[in-house]
Amino acid sequence: MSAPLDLAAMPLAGFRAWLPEIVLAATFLTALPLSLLGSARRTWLPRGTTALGLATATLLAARGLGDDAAIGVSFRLDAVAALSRLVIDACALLLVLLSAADRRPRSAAGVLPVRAQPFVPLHALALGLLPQATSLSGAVAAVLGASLGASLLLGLCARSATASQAALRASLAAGAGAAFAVYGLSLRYPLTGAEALAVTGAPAAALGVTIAVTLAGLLVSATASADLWQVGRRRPDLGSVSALAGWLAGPPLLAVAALVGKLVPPPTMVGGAVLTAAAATTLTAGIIGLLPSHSAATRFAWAGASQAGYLLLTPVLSSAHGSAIVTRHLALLALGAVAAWGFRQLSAAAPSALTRLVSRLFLVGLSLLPPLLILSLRPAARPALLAVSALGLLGSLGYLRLALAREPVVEAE
Amino acid sequence: MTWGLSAHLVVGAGLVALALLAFMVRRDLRGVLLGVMLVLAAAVLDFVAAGRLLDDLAGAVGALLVLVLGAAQLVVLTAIARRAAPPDEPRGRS
Repeated sequence: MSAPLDLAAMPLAGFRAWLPEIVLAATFLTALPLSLLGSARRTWLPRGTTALGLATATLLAARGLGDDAAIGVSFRLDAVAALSRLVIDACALLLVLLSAADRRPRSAAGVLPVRAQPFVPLHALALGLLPQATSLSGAVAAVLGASLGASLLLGLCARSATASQAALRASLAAGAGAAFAVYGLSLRYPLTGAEALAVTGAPAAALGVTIAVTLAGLLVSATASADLWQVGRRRPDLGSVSALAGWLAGPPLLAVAALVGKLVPPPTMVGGAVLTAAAATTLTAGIIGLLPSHSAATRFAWAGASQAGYLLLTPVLSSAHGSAIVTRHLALLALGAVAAWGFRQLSAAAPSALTRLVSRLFLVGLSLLPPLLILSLRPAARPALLAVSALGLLGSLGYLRLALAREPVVEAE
Repeated sequence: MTWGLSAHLVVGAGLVALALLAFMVRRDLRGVLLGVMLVLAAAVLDFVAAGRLLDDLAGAVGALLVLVLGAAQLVVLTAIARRAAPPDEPRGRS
């Protein structure tokens, strides 16, 4: 009997570490023709293929949590990247499963159509590469890929002209943010003379400008949501995004946070103060947008956008312990956001005490995340950081308000 | 930093300034798309110029990625825009 194939001995070191990415790409390439060519009665084929591929990728990502491998200088799978990838793949699987449980007609708002299913693993692939990027070209590919994936999903899920308008505005914001982030990355190349994201020997002022441009672009791109733009004040919730809203609100923040940790070197006192002020501004802006919101979806979108302030704290904390706390916070936010909004949409489609209860439990859980983060930071953080982190408590009130609200999710026209 | 590279960076910054002007002056779809294209063009210019002057292939790779993925993004945005018509106007107009 011949010896089994020893993957660890293969010349391409780390092949096993990137099996989840290979599976995601294969899922997209397989499900896409099935979704385009399949009949209306065989929607289970592309849906099942997508779900199976995402489940496989999630299991492989869980198996690869202890891996530490690199592909040249472009991508490296370390502990933070492996955890981020696992959570992103799990969120994508949850999105597809919750969408499959939605039994409303295909023309109803908020349903993830069959033709959009293959683009979920594609978007998950791009988001999973963001934390792994260690070079400028890798980061550029991941940033633009993630923006493209989000635009595709928004465009395919919008079922009416009104929803398409909101999807267009969100896609334009995400695209513009990604463009500025890429421009900021392109400025680092002539400054440092090297392709690696890690910075050595660059003028501090010029580097600060590139970091500011890149961070601003990443923040805008990661927080763009169709529900931030209501088309007409009297119109109800667009409803064209449901579990998709959670998918676009949570996992991108997790992916961007891991990239920010590589982009920004340990800051000086002035740089740390600037980043802390930017975090406070982002958290506050989300709260200001949240308060006058008159619809559940808009409140959810602003609550998610306010949480983006936390990812700016990652370089300020500049310790493995602090980064791990923020990563855990954003990972739980990602999972909670997809679950909460997905179950809420299910309860609106087929009112059930169980789905309503599950959705409210997840929303209450989301509101408890900022206090948990503050308690975890307390032994290590300075008073200013604790004060900034406390701003997130106000944003968590948005989730609590959603949990207690009795309003139904109104369908789009 | 050589004079040639500085000039390219200044031109790139000028393109970004034009993009910001486009965002502010023309607040419609064409203005935003034009702005996004200008910013991506500035990024391509930076990558190509730095790669050429540093004699490094990474610049060309970065520029190619921005061109391909940026073009795909613009195509998708245009496709969404064709489906999105103001509620009071007939579809087909962007």
